[in-house]
Amino acid sequence: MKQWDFWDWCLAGLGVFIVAVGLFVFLLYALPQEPLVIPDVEASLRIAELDDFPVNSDRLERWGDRWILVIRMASGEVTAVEGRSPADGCELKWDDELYRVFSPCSYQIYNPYGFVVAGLDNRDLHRYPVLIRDGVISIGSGT
Amino acid sequence: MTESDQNKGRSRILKWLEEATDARILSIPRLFGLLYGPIEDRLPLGEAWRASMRRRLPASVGWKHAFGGATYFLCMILVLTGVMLSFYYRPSTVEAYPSLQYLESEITFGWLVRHVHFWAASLVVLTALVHLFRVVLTGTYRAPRETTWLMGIMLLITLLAFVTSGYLLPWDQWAYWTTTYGLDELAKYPVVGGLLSRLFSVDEFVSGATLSRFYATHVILLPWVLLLLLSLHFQLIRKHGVALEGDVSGEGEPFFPHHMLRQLVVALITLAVLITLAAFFPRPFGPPADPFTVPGELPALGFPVLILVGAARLPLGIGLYGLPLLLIALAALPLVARTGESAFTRRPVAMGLFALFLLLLMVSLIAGLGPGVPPSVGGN
Repeated sequence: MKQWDFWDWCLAGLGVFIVAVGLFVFLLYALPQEPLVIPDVEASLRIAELDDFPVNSDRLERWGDRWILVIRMASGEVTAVEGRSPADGCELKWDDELYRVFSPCSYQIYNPYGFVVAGLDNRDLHRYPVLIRDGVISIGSGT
Repeated sequence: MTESDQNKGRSRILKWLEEATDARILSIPRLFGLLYGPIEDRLPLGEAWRASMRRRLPASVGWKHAFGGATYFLCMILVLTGVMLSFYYRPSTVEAYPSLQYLESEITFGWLVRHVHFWAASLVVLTALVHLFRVVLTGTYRAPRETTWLMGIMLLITLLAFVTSGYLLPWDQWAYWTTTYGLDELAKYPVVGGLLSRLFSVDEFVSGATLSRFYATHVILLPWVLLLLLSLHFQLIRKHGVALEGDVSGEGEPFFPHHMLRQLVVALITLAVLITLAAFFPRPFGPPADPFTVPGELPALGFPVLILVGAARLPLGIGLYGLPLLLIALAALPLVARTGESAFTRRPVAMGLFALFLLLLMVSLIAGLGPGVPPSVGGN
Protein backbone atom coordinates (compact mmCIF):
# COMPACT_ATOMS: atom_id res chain seq x y z
CA MET A 1 0.00 0.00 0.00
CA LYS A 2 1.30 3.47 -0.93
CA GLN A 3 2.57 5.44 2.05
CA TRP A 4 0.83 8.70 2.76
CA ASP A 5 2.83 11.83 2.05
CA PHE A 6 2.32 15.33 3.47
CA TRP A 7 -0.36 16.30 0.93
CA ASP A 8 -2.35 13.11 1.55
CA TRP A 9 -2.46 14.01 5.22
CA CYS A 10 -3.46 17.62 4.37
CA LEU A 11 -6.30 16.35 2.17
CA ALA A 12 -7.47 13.91 4.83
CA GLY A 13 -7.27 16.68 7.46
CA LEU A 14 -9.32 18.99 5.25
CA GLY A 15 -11.92 16.27 4.74
CA VAL A 16 -12.15 15.58 8.47
CA PHE A 17 -12.39 19.35 9.16
CA ILE A 18 -15.25 19.82 6.64
CA VAL A 19 -17.15 16.83 8.06
CA ALA A 20 -16.57 18.02 11.66
CA VAL A 21 -17.77 21.58 10.90
CA GLY A 22 -20.82 20.21 9.07
CA LEU A 23 -21.63 17.92 11.99
CA PHE A 24 -21.17 20.75 14.49
CA VAL A 25 -23.55 23.03 12.56
CA PHE A 26 -26.05 20.17 12.27
CA LEU A 27 -25.87 19.43 16.00
CA LEU A 28 -26.36 23.09 16.92
CA TYR A 29 -29.35 23.15 14.61
CA ALA A 30 -30.94 19.89 15.73
CA LEU A 31 -30.30 19.90 19.49
CA PRO A 32 -33.47 20.45 21.56
CA GLN A 33 -34.24 24.10 22.22
CA GLU A 34 -37.22 25.82 23.81
CA PRO A 35 -40.06 24.28 21.76
CA LEU A 36 -42.53 26.25 19.71
CA VAL A 37 -45.87 26.38 21.55
CA ILE A 38 -49.04 27.35 19.73
CA PRO A 39 -51.68 27.18 22.50
CA ASP A 40 -54.67 26.83 20.15
CA VAL A 41 -53.48 23.54 18.75
CA GLU A 42 -51.45 21.99 21.55
CA ALA A 43 -52.92 18.86 23.16
CA SER A 44 -51.65 20.01 26.55
CA LEU A 45 -50.46 23.24 28.14
CA ARG A 46 -47.24 23.37 30.13
CA ILE A 47 -47.82 25.29 33.37
CA ALA A 48 -44.58 25.25 35.34
CA GLU A 49 -42.03 23.08 37.06
CA LEU A 50 -43.14 21.89 40.51
CA ASP A 51 -40.16 23.73 42.06
CA ASP A 52 -41.37 27.01 40.56
CA PHE A 53 -44.96 26.56 41.78
CA PRO A 54 -45.08 26.86 45.61
CA VAL A 55 -47.71 25.00 47.59
CA ASN A 56 -50.84 26.94 48.58
CA SER A 57 -50.60 29.22 45.57
CA ASP A 58 -52.44 29.66 42.28
CA ARG A 59 -51.86 30.78 38.69
CA LEU A 60 -54.24 32.07 36.09
CA GLU A 61 -53.19 30.76 32.68
CA ARG A 62 -54.47 31.57 29.23
CA TRP A 63 -54.84 28.72 26.71
CA GLY A 64 -56.10 30.10 23.40
CA ASP A 65 -59.42 31.71 24.32
CA ARG A 66 -59.71 29.78 27.61
CA TRP A 67 -58.73 31.03 31.07
CA ILE A 68 -57.65 28.38 33.53
CA LEU A 69 -57.07 28.66 37.25
CA VAL A 70 -54.36 26.25 38.39
CA ILE A 71 -54.15 25.66 42.16
CA ARG A 72 -51.43 23.92 44.11
CA MET A 73 -52.92 23.04 47.48
CA ALA A 74 -51.09 22.72 50.78
CA SER A 75 -51.09 18.94 50.36
CA GLY A 76 -49.13 19.38 47.12
CA GLU A 77 -52.06 18.25 44.97
CA VAL A 78 -52.58 20.29 41.80
CA THR A 79 -56.01 21.02 40.33
CA ALA A 80 -57.05 23.08 37.31
CA VAL A 81 -60.49 24.62 36.81
CA GLU A 82 -62.16 27.13 34.55
CA GLY A 83 -60.68 30.59 35.32
CA ARG A 84 -63.83 32.67 34.76
CA SER A 85 -67.05 32.36 36.64
CA PRO A 86 -69.90 30.97 34.49
CA ALA A 87 -72.27 33.02 36.66
CA ASP A 88 -70.88 36.52 36.03
CA GLY A 89 -67.84 36.14 33.73
CA CYS A 90 -65.46 37.52 36.35
CA GLU A 91 -61.92 36.27 36.86
CA LEU A 92 -61.99 33.73 39.71
CA LYS A 93 -59.68 34.03 42.73
CA TRP A 94 -58.22 31.42 45.08
CA ASP A 95 -58.49 31.97 48.81
CA ASP A 96 -55.66 29.98 50.37
CA GLU A 97 -57.01 30.38 53.93
CA LEU A 98 -60.61 29.32 53.26
CA TYR A 99 -59.49 26.82 50.62
CA ARG A 100 -62.11 28.09 48.23
CA VAL A 101 -62.36 29.55 44.72
CA PHE A 102 -64.58 32.61 44.59
CA SER A 103 -65.83 35.26 42.24
CA PRO A 104 -65.06 38.85 43.33
CA CYS A 105 -68.10 40.14 41.39
CA SER A 106 -70.90 38.12 43.01
CA TYR A 107 -71.55 35.70 45.81
CA GLN A 108 -70.36 32.54 44.09
CA ILE A 109 -68.03 30.07 45.79
CA TYR A 110 -66.52 26.78 44.59
CA ASN A 111 -64.23 24.17 46.09
CA PRO A 112 -60.79 23.52 44.50
CA TYR A 113 -62.30 20.81 42.30
CA GLY A 114 -64.81 23.23 40.74
CA PHE A 115 -67.99 22.11 42.56
CA VAL A 116 -70.39 24.83 43.69
CA VAL A 117 -70.25 25.38 47.45
CA ALA A 118 -72.43 28.49 47.68
CA GLY A 119 -74.14 30.98 45.37
CA LEU A 120 -77.19 31.38 43.19
CA ASP A 121 -75.72 29.76 40.09
CA ASN A 122 -75.54 25.97 40.46
CA ARG A 123 -73.27 25.32 37.45
CA ASP A 124 -69.96 23.71 38.42
CA LEU A 125 -66.65 24.89 36.93
CA HIS A 126 -65.13 22.91 34.07
CA ARG A 127 -62.25 20.86 35.44
CA TYR A 128 -59.08 20.19 33.43
CA PRO A 129 -56.99 17.02 33.80
CA VAL A 130 -53.55 17.60 35.36
CA LEU A 131 -50.47 15.63 34.43
CA ILE A 132 -47.16 15.84 36.29
CA ARG A 133 -44.22 14.25 34.49
CA ASP A 134 -40.52 14.71 35.26
CA GLY A 135 -41.45 17.46 37.73
CA VAL A 136 -43.34 19.50 35.11
CA ILE A 137 -47.04 20.32 35.52
CA SER A 138 -49.14 20.18 32.34
CA ILE A 139 -52.88 20.32 31.85
CA GLY A 140 -55.02 18.72 29.15
CA SER A 141 -58.09 20.12 27.47
CA GLY A 142 -60.39 17.60 29.16
CA THR A 143 -62.67 17.39 26.13
CA MET B 1 3.62 3.86 16.66
CA THR B 2 5.84 3.56 13.56
CA GLU B 3 4.59 4.11 10.02
CA SER B 4 4.77 0.40 9.17
CA ASP B 5 2.64 -0.39 12.25
CA GLN B 6 0.05 2.15 11.06
CA ASN B 7 0.01 0.58 7.58
CA LYS B 8 -0.37 -2.86 9.16
CA GLY B 9 -3.33 -1.52 11.20
CA ARG B 10 -4.99 -0.10 8.10
CA SER B 11 -4.40 -3.34 6.21
CA ARG B 12 -5.99 -5.32 9.03
CA ILE B 13 -9.14 -3.16 8.88
CA LEU B 14 -9.30 -3.51 5.08
CA LYS B 15 -8.73 -7.26 5.34
CA TRP B 16 -11.49 -7.59 7.91
CA LEU B 17 -13.84 -5.53 5.72
CA GLU B 18 -13.04 -7.65 2.68
CA GLU B 19 -13.61 -10.87 4.58
CA ALA B 20 -16.85 -9.60 6.13
CA THR B 21 -18.46 -8.54 2.89
CA ASP B 22 -18.03 -8.70 -0.88
CA ALA B 23 -17.75 -6.17 -3.66
CA ARG B 24 -21.47 -6.29 -4.44
CA ILE B 25 -22.01 -3.91 -1.52
CA LEU B 26 -20.56 -1.22 -3.81
CA SER B 27 -23.79 -1.30 -5.81
CA ILE B 28 -25.29 0.91 -3.07
CA PRO B 29 -22.99 3.93 -3.68
CA ARG B 30 -23.28 3.11 -7.39
CA LEU B 31 -27.08 3.46 -7.17
CA PHE B 32 -26.57 7.01 -5.85
CA GLY B 33 -24.11 7.87 -8.63
CA LEU B 34 -21.05 7.92 -6.39
CA LEU B 35 -19.12 5.30 -8.36
CA TYR B 36 -18.53 5.63 -12.07
CA GLY B 37 -17.13 2.36 -13.37
CA PRO B 38 -18.59 -1.16 -13.32
CA ILE B 39 -18.07 -3.29 -10.23
CA GLU B 40 -16.00 -6.44 -10.58
CA ASP B 41 -17.63 -8.51 -7.87
CA ARG B 42 -15.03 -11.29 -8.21
CA LEU B 43 -12.38 -8.88 -6.90
CA PRO B 44 -11.84 -8.12 -3.21
CA LEU B 45 -13.71 -5.02 -1.97
CA GLY B 46 -10.73 -2.64 -1.99
CA GLU B 47 -9.55 -3.61 -5.46
CA ALA B 48 -13.09 -3.49 -6.88
CA TRP B 49 -13.48 0.03 -5.43
CA ARG B 50 -10.16 1.20 -6.92
CA ALA B 51 -10.90 -0.40 -10.31
CA SER B 52 -14.29 1.31 -10.43
CA MET B 53 -12.91 4.71 -9.42
CA ARG B 54 -10.04 4.55 -11.90
CA ARG B 55 -12.16 3.68 -14.91
CA ARG B 56 -10.95 5.90 -17.73
CA LEU B 57 -13.35 8.39 -19.25
CA PRO B 58 -13.50 9.32 -22.95
CA ALA B 59 -10.89 11.90 -23.90
CA SER B 60 -13.49 14.60 -24.68
CA VAL B 61 -14.84 14.68 -21.10
CA GLY B 62 -13.93 17.94 -19.41
CA TRP B 63 -15.28 20.92 -17.48
CA LYS B 64 -18.42 21.18 -19.57
CA HIS B 65 -19.47 17.76 -18.24
CA ALA B 66 -19.39 18.98 -14.64
CA PHE B 67 -22.83 20.64 -14.76
CA GLY B 68 -24.58 17.29 -14.41
CA GLY B 69 -22.53 16.73 -11.26
CA ALA B 70 -23.45 20.23 -10.02
CA THR B 71 -27.15 19.42 -10.55
CA TYR B 72 -26.73 16.20 -8.59
CA PHE B 73 -24.83 18.05 -5.85
CA LEU B 74 -27.67 20.59 -5.56
CA CYS B 75 -30.20 17.74 -5.38
CA MET B 76 -28.26 16.32 -2.43
CA ILE B 77 -28.16 19.78 -0.77
CA LEU B 78 -31.94 19.97 -1.24
CA VAL B 79 -32.43 16.55 0.32
CA LEU B 80 -30.20 17.44 3.28
CA THR B 81 -31.72 20.87 3.94
CA GLY B 82 -35.22 19.46 3.30
CA VAL B 83 -34.73 16.84 6.00
CA MET B 84 -33.39 19.54 8.33
CA LEU B 85 -36.39 21.78 7.62
CA SER B 86 -38.78 18.93 8.34
CA PHE B 87 -37.30 18.69 11.87
CA TYR B 88 -39.16 21.92 12.69
CA TYR B 89 -41.79 22.43 10.00
CA ARG B 90 -45.40 21.57 10.93
CA PRO B 91 -47.71 20.91 7.98
CA SER B 92 -50.97 22.43 9.17
CA THR B 93 -52.66 25.70 8.33
CA VAL B 94 -52.32 26.95 11.90
CA GLU B 95 -48.73 25.89 12.49
CA ALA B 96 -46.93 26.04 9.11
CA TYR B 97 -46.32 29.80 9.06
CA PRO B 98 -45.33 30.22 12.75
CA SER B 99 -43.15 27.11 12.65
CA LEU B 100 -41.03 28.60 9.85
CA GLN B 101 -40.88 31.98 11.59
CA TYR B 102 -39.79 30.18 14.75
CA LEU B 103 -37.17 28.27 12.73
CA GLU B 104 -35.76 31.52 11.38
CA SER B 105 -35.76 33.51 14.59
CA GLU B 106 -35.09 30.92 17.31
CA ILE B 107 -33.10 28.03 15.84
CA THR B 108 -29.33 28.23 15.41
CA PHE B 109 -28.59 28.42 11.65
CA GLY B 110 -32.32 27.98 10.96
CA TRP B 111 -32.36 30.98 8.61
CA LEU B 112 -29.40 29.57 6.67
CA VAL B 113 -30.99 26.15 6.19
CA ARG B 114 -34.25 27.69 4.96
CA HIS B 115 -32.69 30.13 2.49
CA VAL B 116 -30.14 27.60 1.20
CA HIS B 117 -33.08 25.26 0.48
CA PHE B 118 -34.91 28.07 -1.32
CA TRP B 119 -31.93 29.09 -3.47
CA ALA B 120 -30.83 25.51 -4.16
CA ALA B 121 -34.32 24.91 -5.61
CA SER B 122 -33.72 27.78 -8.04
CA LEU B 123 -30.14 26.89 -8.91
CA VAL B 124 -30.87 23.19 -9.47
CA VAL B 125 -33.29 24.06 -12.30
CA LEU B 126 -30.71 26.46 -13.76
CA THR B 127 -27.87 23.91 -13.70
CA ALA B 128 -30.20 21.23 -15.09
CA LEU B 129 -31.00 23.58 -18.00
CA VAL B 130 -27.27 24.25 -18.61
CA HIS B 131 -26.66 20.48 -18.52
CA LEU B 132 -29.52 20.00 -21.00
CA PHE B 133 -28.01 22.69 -23.23
CA ARG B 134 -24.62 20.91 -23.19
CA VAL B 135 -26.26 17.64 -24.22
CA VAL B 136 -28.14 19.31 -27.09
CA LEU B 137 -25.02 21.19 -28.17
CA THR B 138 -22.84 18.08 -28.27
CA GLY B 139 -25.61 15.92 -29.73
CA THR B 140 -25.27 13.23 -27.08
CA TYR B 141 -29.05 12.76 -26.88
CA ARG B 142 -28.94 10.58 -30.01
CA ALA B 143 -28.85 6.77 -30.13
CA PRO B 144 -27.93 4.84 -28.09
CA ARG B 145 -28.64 7.43 -25.36
CA GLU B 146 -32.32 8.18 -26.11
CA THR B 147 -33.46 6.77 -22.78
CA THR B 148 -30.77 8.69 -20.86
CA TRP B 149 -32.04 11.85 -22.53
CA LEU B 150 -35.66 10.99 -21.77
CA MET B 151 -34.76 10.36 -18.10
CA GLY B 152 -33.04 13.77 -18.09
CA ILE B 153 -36.19 15.52 -19.37
CA MET B 154 -38.28 13.65 -16.81
CA LEU B 155 -35.84 14.70 -14.10
CA LEU B 156 -36.29 18.34 -15.13
CA ILE B 157 -40.07 17.95 -14.91
CA THR B 158 -39.67 16.27 -11.50
CA LEU B 159 -37.54 19.19 -10.28
CA LEU B 160 -40.24 21.63 -11.43
CA ALA B 161 -42.84 19.52 -9.60
CA PHE B 162 -40.68 19.75 -6.47
CA VAL B 163 -40.56 23.55 -6.78
CA THR B 164 -44.33 23.93 -7.27
CA SER B 165 -45.27 21.50 -4.49
CA GLY B 166 -42.85 23.11 -2.05
CA TYR B 167 -43.96 26.64 -2.87
CA LEU B 168 -47.19 26.41 -0.83
CA LEU B 169 -45.50 25.09 2.31
CA PRO B 170 -44.56 28.46 3.95
CA TRP B 171 -48.30 29.20 3.95
CA ASP B 172 -47.97 32.94 3.48
CA GLN B 173 -50.13 35.13 1.26
CA TRP B 174 -47.75 34.90 -1.71
CA ALA B 175 -47.51 31.12 -1.50
CA TYR B 176 -51.25 30.78 -0.99
CA TRP B 177 -52.38 32.97 -3.89
CA THR B 178 -49.66 31.86 -6.31
CA THR B 179 -50.77 28.26 -5.69
CA THR B 180 -54.42 29.27 -6.15
CA TYR B 181 -53.44 30.91 -9.43
CA GLY B 182 -51.37 27.88 -10.48
CA LEU B 183 -54.20 25.45 -9.75
CA ASP B 184 -56.64 27.66 -11.70
CA GLU B 185 -54.25 27.64 -14.66
CA LEU B 186 -53.70 23.88 -14.37
CA ALA B 187 -57.47 23.38 -14.61
CA LYS B 188 -57.40 25.07 -18.05
CA TYR B 189 -55.56 22.13 -19.66
CA PRO B 190 -58.01 20.02 -21.62
CA VAL B 191 -59.09 16.55 -20.40
CA VAL B 192 -56.74 16.05 -17.44
CA GLY B 193 -56.31 19.66 -16.25
CA GLY B 194 -59.47 19.82 -14.16
CA LEU B 195 -58.87 16.38 -12.71
CA LEU B 196 -55.26 17.18 -11.74
CA SER B 197 -56.27 20.52 -10.24
CA ARG B 198 -59.00 18.85 -8.19
CA LEU B 199 -56.63 16.06 -7.17
CA PHE B 200 -54.20 18.54 -5.63
CA SER B 201 -56.52 21.24 -4.34
CA VAL B 202 -58.96 18.64 -2.87
CA ASP B 203 -61.20 21.44 -1.61
CA GLU B 204 -63.10 24.20 -3.40
CA PHE B 205 -60.27 26.55 -2.49
CA VAL B 206 -56.71 26.07 -1.26
CA SER B 207 -57.08 24.76 2.31
CA GLY B 208 -55.50 22.51 4.91
CA ALA B 209 -56.38 19.51 2.74
CA THR B 210 -54.41 21.07 -0.13
CA LEU B 211 -51.45 21.71 2.18
CA SER B 212 -51.45 18.03 3.22
CA ARG B 213 -51.45 16.89 -0.43
CA PHE B 214 -48.65 19.29 -1.37
CA TYR B 215 -46.59 18.30 1.66
CA ALA B 216 -47.00 14.55 1.03
CA THR B 217 -46.14 15.03 -2.65
CA HIS B 218 -43.09 17.16 -1.79
CA VAL B 219 -41.56 15.01 0.94
CA ILE B 220 -42.74 11.46 0.20
CA LEU B 221 -43.87 10.94 -3.39
CA LEU B 222 -41.43 13.08 -5.38
CA PRO B 223 -38.22 12.00 -3.54
CA TRP B 224 -38.94 8.38 -4.57
CA VAL B 225 -39.57 9.45 -8.16
CA LEU B 226 -36.33 11.47 -8.09
CA LEU B 227 -34.32 8.56 -6.67
CA LEU B 228 -35.72 6.18 -9.27
CA LEU B 229 -35.06 8.53 -12.19
CA LEU B 230 -31.59 9.49 -10.94
CA SER B 231 -30.48 5.89 -10.48
CA LEU B 232 -31.81 4.99 -13.94
CA HIS B 233 -30.06 8.05 -15.40
CA PHE B 234 -26.74 7.05 -13.76
CA GLN B 235 -27.16 3.44 -14.80
CA LEU B 236 -27.69 4.45 -18.42
CA ILE B 237 -24.78 6.91 -18.37
CA ARG B 238 -22.48 4.08 -17.27
CA LYS B 239 -23.88 1.75 -19.90
CA HIS B 240 -23.67 4.10 -22.86
CA GLY B 241 -20.99 6.56 -21.73
CA VAL B 242 -21.18 10.34 -21.74
CA ALA B 243 -19.36 11.19 -24.96
CA LEU B 244 -20.07 11.00 -28.66
CA GLU B 245 -19.85 7.92 -30.83
CA GLY B 246 -16.28 7.22 -31.81
CA ASP B 247 -15.12 8.60 -28.50
CA VAL B 248 -16.00 5.80 -26.12
CA SER B 249 -12.56 4.26 -26.12
CA GLY B 250 -11.81 5.29 -22.58
CA GLU B 251 -8.49 6.81 -23.57
CA GLY B 252 -8.94 9.90 -21.47
CA GLU B 253 -8.17 10.56 -17.82
CA PRO B 254 -9.38 8.26 -15.08
CA PHE B 255 -12.57 9.28 -13.23
CA PHE B 256 -10.61 9.50 -9.96
CA PRO B 257 -8.95 11.84 -9.23
CA HIS B 258 -9.20 13.94 -12.42
CA HIS B 259 -12.91 14.23 -13.11
CA MET B 260 -13.78 13.91 -9.43
CA LEU B 261 -11.55 16.90 -8.67
CA ARG B 262 -13.36 18.91 -11.36
CA GLN B 263 -16.68 17.91 -9.80
CA LEU B 264 -15.38 18.91 -6.37
CA VAL B 265 -14.30 22.34 -7.60
CA VAL B 266 -17.68 22.92 -9.27
CA ALA B 267 -19.46 21.69 -6.10
CA LEU B 268 -17.46 24.08 -3.89
CA ILE B 269 -18.13 27.03 -6.21
CA THR B 270 -21.83 26.08 -6.27
CA LEU B 271 -21.88 25.90 -2.46
CA ALA B 272 -20.18 29.31 -2.17
CA VAL B 273 -22.69 30.89 -4.58
CA LEU B 274 -25.56 29.21 -2.72
CA ILE B 275 -24.52 30.45 0.73
CA THR B 276 -23.83 33.97 -0.61
CA LEU B 277 -27.28 34.14 -2.21
CA ALA B 278 -28.92 32.72 0.93
CA ALA B 279 -27.16 35.27 3.14
CA PHE B 280 -27.74 38.37 1.00
CA PHE B 281 -31.05 37.60 -0.76
CA PRO B 282 -33.22 35.69 1.72
CA ARG B 283 -36.71 34.56 0.76
CA PRO B 284 -38.90 37.05 2.64
CA PHE B 285 -42.08 36.16 4.50
CA GLY B 286 -45.36 37.53 3.20
CA PRO B 287 -48.27 38.08 5.58
CA PRO B 288 -49.86 34.83 6.83
CA ALA B 289 -52.16 33.12 4.31
CA ASP B 290 -55.67 34.51 4.35
CA PRO B 291 -58.24 33.01 1.97
CA PHE B 292 -60.49 36.06 2.45
CA THR B 293 -57.97 38.75 1.50
CA VAL B 294 -56.55 39.02 -1.99
CA PRO B 295 -53.07 40.58 -1.85
CA GLY B 296 -52.52 43.78 -3.81
CA GLU B 297 -49.38 42.36 -5.41
CA LEU B 298 -48.37 38.79 -5.99
CA PRO B 299 -44.60 38.52 -6.43
CA ALA B 300 -43.33 35.16 -7.69
CA LEU B 301 -40.29 34.12 -5.69
CA GLY B 302 -37.49 32.05 -7.15
CA PHE B 303 -36.35 31.54 -10.71
CA PRO B 304 -38.46 28.43 -11.58
CA VAL B 305 -41.69 29.91 -10.16
CA LEU B 306 -41.00 33.16 -12.03
CA ILE B 307 -40.85 31.16 -15.26
CA LEU B 308 -43.96 29.09 -14.53
CA VAL B 309 -46.05 32.07 -13.40
CA GLY B 310 -44.73 34.15 -16.31
CA ALA B 311 -45.59 31.37 -18.78
CA ALA B 312 -49.16 31.32 -17.46
CA ARG B 313 -49.40 35.10 -17.87
CA LEU B 314 -48.41 35.08 -21.56
CA PRO B 315 -51.34 35.80 -23.91
CA LEU B 316 -53.06 33.23 -26.15
CA GLY B 317 -51.79 30.36 -24.00
CA ILE B 318 -48.34 30.67 -25.58
CA GLY B 319 -46.63 29.74 -22.34
CA LEU B 320 -49.33 27.51 -20.97
CA TYR B 321 -49.30 25.22 -24.01
CA GLY B 322 -45.95 26.21 -25.57
CA LEU B 323 -43.70 25.07 -22.71
CA PRO B 324 -45.14 21.54 -22.35
CA LEU B 325 -45.29 21.09 -26.13
CA LEU B 326 -41.67 22.16 -26.53
CA LEU B 327 -40.62 19.82 -23.70
CA ILE B 328 -42.45 16.94 -25.43
CA ALA B 329 -40.78 17.88 -28.75
CA LEU B 330 -37.36 17.96 -27.06
CA ALA B 331 -38.02 14.57 -25.42
CA ALA B 332 -38.90 13.14 -28.84
CA LEU B 333 -35.80 14.63 -30.46
CA PRO B 334 -33.69 11.44 -30.52
CA LEU B 335 -36.57 9.54 -32.12
CA VAL B 336 -36.76 11.90 -35.12
CA ALA B 337 -33.00 12.53 -35.38
CA ARG B 338 -31.60 9.07 -34.81
CA THR B 339 -28.32 9.62 -36.60
CA GLY B 340 -26.66 12.53 -38.34
CA GLU B 341 -23.98 15.11 -37.88
CA SER B 342 -22.36 15.70 -34.53
CA ALA B 343 -21.55 19.36 -35.17
CA PHE B 344 -24.36 21.51 -33.78
CA THR B 345 -24.36 23.74 -36.90
CA ARG B 346 -25.50 20.73 -38.90
CA ARG B 347 -28.44 19.94 -36.61
CA PRO B 348 -30.76 22.88 -37.27
CA VAL B 349 -33.95 21.16 -36.03
CA ALA B 350 -32.52 20.25 -32.63
CA MET B 351 -30.78 23.57 -32.15
CA GLY B 352 -33.85 25.47 -33.39
CA LEU B 353 -36.13 23.64 -30.98
CA PHE B 354 -33.82 24.25 -28.06
CA ALA B 355 -33.39 27.93 -29.04
CA LEU B 356 -37.19 28.26 -29.12
CA PHE B 357 -37.40 26.59 -25.72
CA LEU B 358 -34.80 28.98 -24.27
CA LEU B 359 -36.55 31.98 -25.86
CA LEU B 360 -39.88 30.97 -24.33
CA LEU B 361 -38.16 30.52 -20.96
CA MET B 362 -36.66 34.02 -21.22
CA VAL B 363 -39.96 35.62 -22.26
CA SER B 364 -41.76 33.78 -19.42
CA LEU B 365 -39.10 34.93 -16.98
CA ILE B 366 -39.59 38.57 -18.02
CA ALA B 367 -43.40 38.19 -17.83
CA GLY B 368 -43.06 36.66 -14.38
CA LEU B 369 -40.96 39.54 -13.03
CA GLY B 370 -43.83 42.03 -12.90
CA PRO B 371 -46.06 42.20 -9.84
CA GLY B 372 -49.21 40.33 -10.65
CA VAL B 373 -52.65 39.76 -9.27
CA PRO B 374 -54.31 36.39 -9.88
CA PRO B 375 -56.67 37.00 -12.83
CA SER B 376 -59.36 34.73 -11.37
CA VAL B 377 -59.55 36.77 -8.19
CA GLY B 378 -58.04 40.07 -9.32
CA GLY B 379 -61.38 41.68 -10.02
CA ASN B 380 -62.66 41.21 -6.47
